[in-house]
Amino acid sequence: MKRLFASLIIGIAIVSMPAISAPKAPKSLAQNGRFHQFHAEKFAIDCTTCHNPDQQQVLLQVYRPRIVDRQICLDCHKYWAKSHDKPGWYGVEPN
Amino acid sequence: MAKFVRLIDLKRCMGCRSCGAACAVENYFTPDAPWNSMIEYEVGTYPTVKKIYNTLGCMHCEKPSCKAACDSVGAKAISKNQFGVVLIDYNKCIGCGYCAAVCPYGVPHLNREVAALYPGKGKNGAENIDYADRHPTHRKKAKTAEKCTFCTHKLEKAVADGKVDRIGKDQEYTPACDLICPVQARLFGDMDDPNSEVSKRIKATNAVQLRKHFGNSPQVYYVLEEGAKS
Repeated sequence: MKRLFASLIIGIAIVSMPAISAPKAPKSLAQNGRFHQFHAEKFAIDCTTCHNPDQQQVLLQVYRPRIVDRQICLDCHKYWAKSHDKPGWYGVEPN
Repeated sequence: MAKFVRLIDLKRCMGCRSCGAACAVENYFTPDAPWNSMIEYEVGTYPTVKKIYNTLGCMHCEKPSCKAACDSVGAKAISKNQFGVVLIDYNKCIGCGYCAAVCPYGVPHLNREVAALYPGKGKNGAENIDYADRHPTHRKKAKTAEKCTFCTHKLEKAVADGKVDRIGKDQEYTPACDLICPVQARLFGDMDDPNSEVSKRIKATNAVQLRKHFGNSPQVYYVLEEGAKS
């Protein structure tokens, strides 16, 4: 009985170890990330506003968006966003 | 009113990282959030290649995008003071990471945990000072953003002592990284004073700000090595 109990404890410890020790996911613009959700869901911005399709993948009939170039973020938050009363973060005078 | 700027001469910098070490000791370094980083890259084609050492801390922009982002989420933890220093209030920071995401220079870092300078070896030097007795910028907290403060605790001391004119000249009123540089590649001083060493050298060397197209007007100027990225 003692052995069974000990094995059970060790088993639970081994199973739960990865969940305890796994590092927290870094904040990113990944599809399931917070920033992506803000842009895609809350602001309902069309995917192609930021992403270009990967040409090679399109030929294979599998649409796969390319990683967003930082310049796209910059252009949007510098010019478009400000003109549409959205947060413009670059070149903004502090309050 | 004085406007404090920094000049970094990449032609002089030899990549020794003394500035980073001095900053770490002065400002209670935490591994997750270094305030002073060194970026290295090579330029040219063989056999005429050379290495660029680019030390990078907060640019204390005149139009800080980190502050704009912080304000837009309602945290309002980032402020810009009378000397142009951009500061983060750890008590207001909500750890959203927006400042880190929008900074064109990748400067603010989120501090996941507060660690000692030499982990596992006990407290070192100033780490023995009680938390409550430290300057607010040194009362570090987990899950908050951090970055260089231009050693604002020293600037505040200069103001309190009535020695603003000694900033950039005296040891106790000058940022640690600028003091330590063994090849005098760094200068700190008042840009509004045309006779200050820093404003003279910025003019004489045609020093530039990095990534000007972001429109943030940074308060750190660089003398670029030939081929270095601006």
